[in-house]
Amino acid sequence: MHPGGTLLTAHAPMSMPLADFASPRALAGVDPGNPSAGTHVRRGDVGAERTLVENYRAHVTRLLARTLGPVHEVEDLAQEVFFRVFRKLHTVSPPEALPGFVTGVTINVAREALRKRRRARWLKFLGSETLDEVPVADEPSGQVLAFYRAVASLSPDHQLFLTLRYVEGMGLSEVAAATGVSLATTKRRLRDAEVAFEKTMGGPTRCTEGS
Amino acid sequence: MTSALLVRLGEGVRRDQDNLPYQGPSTDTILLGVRERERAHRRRVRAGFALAASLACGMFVAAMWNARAPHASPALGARTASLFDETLQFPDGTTLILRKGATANLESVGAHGARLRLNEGVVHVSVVHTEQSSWDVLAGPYSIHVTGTRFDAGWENETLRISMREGSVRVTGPCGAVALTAPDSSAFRCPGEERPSERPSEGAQRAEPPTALTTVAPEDLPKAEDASTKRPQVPLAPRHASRAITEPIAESAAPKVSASALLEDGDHERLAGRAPHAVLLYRRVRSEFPGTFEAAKAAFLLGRMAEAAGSLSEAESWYERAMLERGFEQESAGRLLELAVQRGDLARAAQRAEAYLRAHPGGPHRAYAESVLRSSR
Repeated sequence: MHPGGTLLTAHAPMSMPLADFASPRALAGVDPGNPSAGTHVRRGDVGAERTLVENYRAHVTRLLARTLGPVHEVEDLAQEVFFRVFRKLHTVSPPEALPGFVTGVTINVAREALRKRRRARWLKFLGSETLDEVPVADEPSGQVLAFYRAVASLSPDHQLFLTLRYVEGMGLSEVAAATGVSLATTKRRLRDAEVAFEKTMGGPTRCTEGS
Repeated sequence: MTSALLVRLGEGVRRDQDNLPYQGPSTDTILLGVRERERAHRRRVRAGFALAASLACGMFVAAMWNARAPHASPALGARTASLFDETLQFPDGTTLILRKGATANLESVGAHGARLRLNEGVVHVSVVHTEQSSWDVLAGPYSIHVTGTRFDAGWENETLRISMREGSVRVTGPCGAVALTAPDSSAFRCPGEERPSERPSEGAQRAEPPTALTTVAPEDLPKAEDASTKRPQVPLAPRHASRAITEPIAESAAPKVSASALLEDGDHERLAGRAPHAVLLYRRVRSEFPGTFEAAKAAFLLGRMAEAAGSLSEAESWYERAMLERGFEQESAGRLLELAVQRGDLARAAQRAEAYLRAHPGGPHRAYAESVLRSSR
């Protein structure tokens, strides 16, 4: 049994906390809001783009925040996600595939952001504490900051698999679907990520203390 | 174990994150960003197309640049094509290709030609003909003078071999001089005897019967040299070109040659810029082969030469003769029409235009004749 996330609708007002945003499982499974929004956009319907953004904005923002941490670049990356979604919308068929498509694009954008962050760190000869240099949104708790600083030393893929699995609370099959790899690969990468995280934290004791 | 810890840690992080009054980007903000990205993307696409077009243009210009003749002539000095052919490209488009194994020395380069000494091996020569072009390929004691032609020349074992591809050349050696015309192939050895033509031309095969001129034995060489003191060209080989050049000049007891061979020789002389020789040859065609197609062509060409020299009356006379003979009626009629217009004799021009249209309604001068008629009305 995997850690659960909150199952809510995709239509969330902007002022609501993250917990009120749609869960990926809602998008991947039951009701993604309006999967035919893509069809309307493709047809050039007036306001269809706005509708699609409103349907998926919360989901995209939440996924980005979970994978990247509390950073301001989420806004910029959300724009990038929707830009890519609109550009490739014609490839989505049937309309029910739209939620999974949006999730996949979001994960790709997050992965690229993590890689970019890592390249920047290498270029600047910095250590693993890069989150200090990234603008932080609001005032996250010490636990949140400590966690994302710790995972920042992992490879982008490891960060992605760990956050999707343990912070976002996706099941293994959901992680596999979101990242576009097989279930076996997902398990293997998660295992590797856990080992790497354990090394970073100096063993399970410190990890426990940290939490 | 680690998984359980991570589950607890993740839950804590998620709880803390969810408790933040996080303000995600609004729909308007996202749409604005998307629009901005679309504009940037279009700019990038346009820039990409512009860059690709620039690159394509650049590559096209570079290809054209490479295809055209180079600005500078090759440097003087020794050349050796040890492993591969070596090409010497000149600004006028002339190309000298040293075949593999050949050694040569580019002795001089001028505005209208160059001099290459072939020490060993084979050189392929392709000279672009111009009014002033003058190229020399030297091999041993021989000199091959070129005005515009393609041929291969080989120098090996004191023997010069020439294989003509196009046009004609003049070979000068210690034993005399000879003109070669495509598709002749000859080997020269001096002061020994010249070897027979390896690939005799049609004209050479037509030459009947072989006379003293057809074989140059060592004992004959002085005669040839004597002849060369009187005239610049002394035949060494049994080919119509040499015979044609020398006969009108030396008026020797030359064998009778065919009209087409004489006409060809005349063409060669005319294209080489030796108009008097060409006139003699064309006149000989007309005197020896009256009523033939070659005679008509000779008359027409004599007319063209007279016209080029500014003798319009003489040109008109030749065209009128050619028009009465078989083969060049249409061309001659057209030239006569042009001459009448050149002279400003519009009445005669109109007459000739009408005659032309009657006789050659589909001829190349039809439009011209019609315009002459319109302007005369």
